[in-house]
Amino acid sequence: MITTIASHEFKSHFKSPMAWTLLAVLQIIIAYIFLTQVETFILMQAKLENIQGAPGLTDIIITPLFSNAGIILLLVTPLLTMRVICEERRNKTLNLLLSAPISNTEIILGKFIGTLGLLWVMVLLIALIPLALLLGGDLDLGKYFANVLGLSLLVAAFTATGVFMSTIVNHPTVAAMGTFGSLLILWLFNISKTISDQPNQLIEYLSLLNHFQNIQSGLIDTNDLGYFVVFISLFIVLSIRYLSDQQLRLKKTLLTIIMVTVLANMAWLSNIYTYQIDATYNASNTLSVNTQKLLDALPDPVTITTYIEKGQSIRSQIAQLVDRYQHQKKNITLTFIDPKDKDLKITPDSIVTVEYQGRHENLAYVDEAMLSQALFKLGNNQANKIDIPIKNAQDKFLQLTETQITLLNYLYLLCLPFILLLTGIIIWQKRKSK
Amino acid sequence: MSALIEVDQLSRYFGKTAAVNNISFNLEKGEVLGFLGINGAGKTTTMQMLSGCLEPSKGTLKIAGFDMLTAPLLAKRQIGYLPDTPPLYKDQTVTEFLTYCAQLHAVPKQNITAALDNTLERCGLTKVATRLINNLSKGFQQRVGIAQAIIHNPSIIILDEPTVGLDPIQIKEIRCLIKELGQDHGVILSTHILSEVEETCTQVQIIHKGQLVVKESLLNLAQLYKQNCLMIKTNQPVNLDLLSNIPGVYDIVTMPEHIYHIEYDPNLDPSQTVTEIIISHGWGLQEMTPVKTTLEDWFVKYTSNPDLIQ
Repeated sequence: MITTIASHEFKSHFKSPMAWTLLAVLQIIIAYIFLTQVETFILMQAKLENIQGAPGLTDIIITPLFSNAGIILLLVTPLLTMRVICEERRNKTLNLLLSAPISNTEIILGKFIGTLGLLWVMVLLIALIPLALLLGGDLDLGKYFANVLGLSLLVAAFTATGVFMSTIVNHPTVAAMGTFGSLLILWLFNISKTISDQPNQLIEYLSLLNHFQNIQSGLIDTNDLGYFVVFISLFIVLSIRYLSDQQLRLKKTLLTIIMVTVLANMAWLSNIYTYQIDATYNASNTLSVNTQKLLDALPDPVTITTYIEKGQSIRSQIAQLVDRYQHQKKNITLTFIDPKDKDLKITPDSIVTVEYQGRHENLAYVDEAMLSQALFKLGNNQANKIDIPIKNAQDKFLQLTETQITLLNYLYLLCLPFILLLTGIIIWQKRKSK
Repeated sequence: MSALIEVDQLSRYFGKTAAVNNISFNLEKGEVLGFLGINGAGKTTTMQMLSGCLEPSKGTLKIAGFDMLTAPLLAKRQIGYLPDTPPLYKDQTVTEFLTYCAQLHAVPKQNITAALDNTLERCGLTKVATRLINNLSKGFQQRVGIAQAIIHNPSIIILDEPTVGLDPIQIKEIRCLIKELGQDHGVILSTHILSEVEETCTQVQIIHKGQLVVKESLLNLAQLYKQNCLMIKTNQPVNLDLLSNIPGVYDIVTMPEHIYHIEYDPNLDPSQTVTEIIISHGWGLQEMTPVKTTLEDWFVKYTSNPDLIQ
C-alpha cells in the first residue's frame, strides 16, 4: 500500500509542469556553477601541480558543487513538500485516504517516499553533471559517491522536515515557511564552530551542515549516518502522530514518547560506538600508520591551543584534523583563542601551540606532517625526524579541448534544460485539454 | 449475524462543545437510512466518525462486527464513503482517479478493470472516463464522488448529501442508484431534501443539536405525521384556552395575522365546535381549511421544539 501511494505521489509530480520546470532550472544553475568551477580549475592547474599535498579535481570541483546543490535544494524542498498533506486537508481529499483501509503510517511513508523520489531524481541529475570530467581526467570516485550519498541523505532529511510541517499546519505557505525556517536554523547551527571559542557540542551535533560536510570529505562515519537516520525517523514518527485529528489517547501518546526516546538513544549510541570507512582512494581522511604508532606511544594528555581570529574557515580545518587525532588518542584537547579578545601579539610562526608534559612547540600552520613532527619531538625529547608521507591527490589533471568545453556548455546550459522544459509543457498541454 | 453498523453511545466533542452527544443506532443489511438534521446538527460529524476519518471522543462503533478503534483497517474495508465535499484529485482523469481509489481499497489487481468498468457504467461515467475531473461539470464530479465510494463494492455505503448540485434528471438517476444499492448493501445518506428521504429511504433518523431525536421506519412515520390539522383565519385574536379545551384538540400553533393551526385527533373531529365557538365570540371567522401535514412540517416541528423529544 505504501508503494501505491508513493508511486501515485511521484507520478502526479510529473503530470504537472512544476517538477519539469524545477528540474530545468536546477540543471541550468548547477551546470553554470560546475562550468565556472571547471574554468577556474583549468587556470589553477599549473600552479597546483607544484604544490605538495594540494587538493585535486574532486576537492576543487565536486565537493563545492555538492555543497551549493545542498543549499539550492534547501530552497527547493519546501516548495515540493508544502502541499503533501496540507493541500489534501484543505481540498478535503485527505478523507479519501483516511477512510480507506490504510494506516496513518502507510499514508505518511507513502507520501514521504513519493516526494523523496522526485528529490532523488534531482540529486541524480546533479550527480550526472560532473561525470563529464571523466572525459579529460581522473576523479576520486570514492569521494564522489560519498558526496552523492551525503546529498541524498540531506534531501531525505529536508523532505522529512517538510512532510512534518505540512502535516501540522493548515496552509501550504505556512508549511513552506516553517520548513525553510527550521532547516535554515539547523543549517546555520554550524556557524558556532567558527564564531565562538568553545563551541557547544550539542548544537554542533544538531547542525545538518556539519554532518553533511563530514560525509562529503569521504569519511563515512556511523555517527553521521546515525544522525540522518534518527533525524528522518523522528520527523516521520511525529508526522504519523499528527496526521489525523486524534483525541488525546494515552496509549498513542505513550507510544510516540517511547519511539522518540528510542530514537534519541540510537543517536546517542551511534555517537559512542562509531565505525568509520574512508572512501577516498588515497585514504586522505585517515592518519598514516606512523602517526598512529606515535599517538599510541604518548600516554599523557596533549593540549593544542590555536590563536586564530573568529570566523576564519581555517578554524574548522584545524578542528577536522585534530578530530582525527582525537579518534586515535582520547586525551587531546583543542582550544581556540581569538588574539583580539586578549590583546595578544601573535607572531606568524606561533599560531598553534602544542603542549605535552609541560613542554611546548610552536607551529605556523598545522597539517598532519607538522603536527605529528611536533608531537614526536615533545614525546621523545630529541630532535629526530618522523616520516609522514605526504598524500598527493591523484586526480590532478584535467585536459578538455576547447570544443569539448563549448559542447558541454551547449549541452548543459541549453539542450538539457530545453528538453526538460519542453517535455513538461507538452505533457501539461496534453492533459489540460482532456 | 450482527448488524452492519452498531453505534453505541457515541460522542464527539470539539473543545467543550458536543457536536455529537451520546447517540446509539443500528443499521441492518438492506436498509437505507436517511439522516436528517438542520445545519450544524452533527450529521457530517457522525458520518465522519462512521467512516473512520474522525475519532470519537466516547462510545463504541462497530462496522460489520469490527471495532473502528481497535481494528480500524478491517472496519474500513467494509465502507464506501462520500464526504460532503467529494474528495477528488482534480488534475487526474476519471479512470486514473478511480483506479487509484480501487488500489487504495485493496481491490485485487486482476479485478480492478472489471470493477472500474462496472462502476463507470453504474454511475453513467463511461463517456467521460478519459476526461480530466477538473474539466467536468459539478454534477459529473459528484458522480465521480459516488463512484469512488462504491468501486470496491463495500457492504456499507455512507453518502453525505449525494444529490447536491445535480440537475433533476440526474437526481432521479442517483436516487434510483441508491435504491438499487440499498437492496444488497446498507446505505446511510444525509440530506436536506425531505422528499428525497420519502422517495429513497426505508428508515429515517433525525439528529438535532448532536442528539438523536427520532429513529423510525418510513412506514411508521407516514402514519405518525399524517395527523389531521385545521387552519383557521380570523379577524380578531382568539382565546387560545377556550379552543384548546375542546375535546380532541392536541395543540394549537399561532401564526402571524390571526392564523392558527389546530391539530386534532382524527377520531374526534372538532371543526364543528371550533366554528361555533369562534362565531359565538364574534372573532370573525374568515377561512377554515384542512391542512395535510408533510414530512417537512413534521421535521420542522421536531427540530424547533426539543420538548417533543420525550
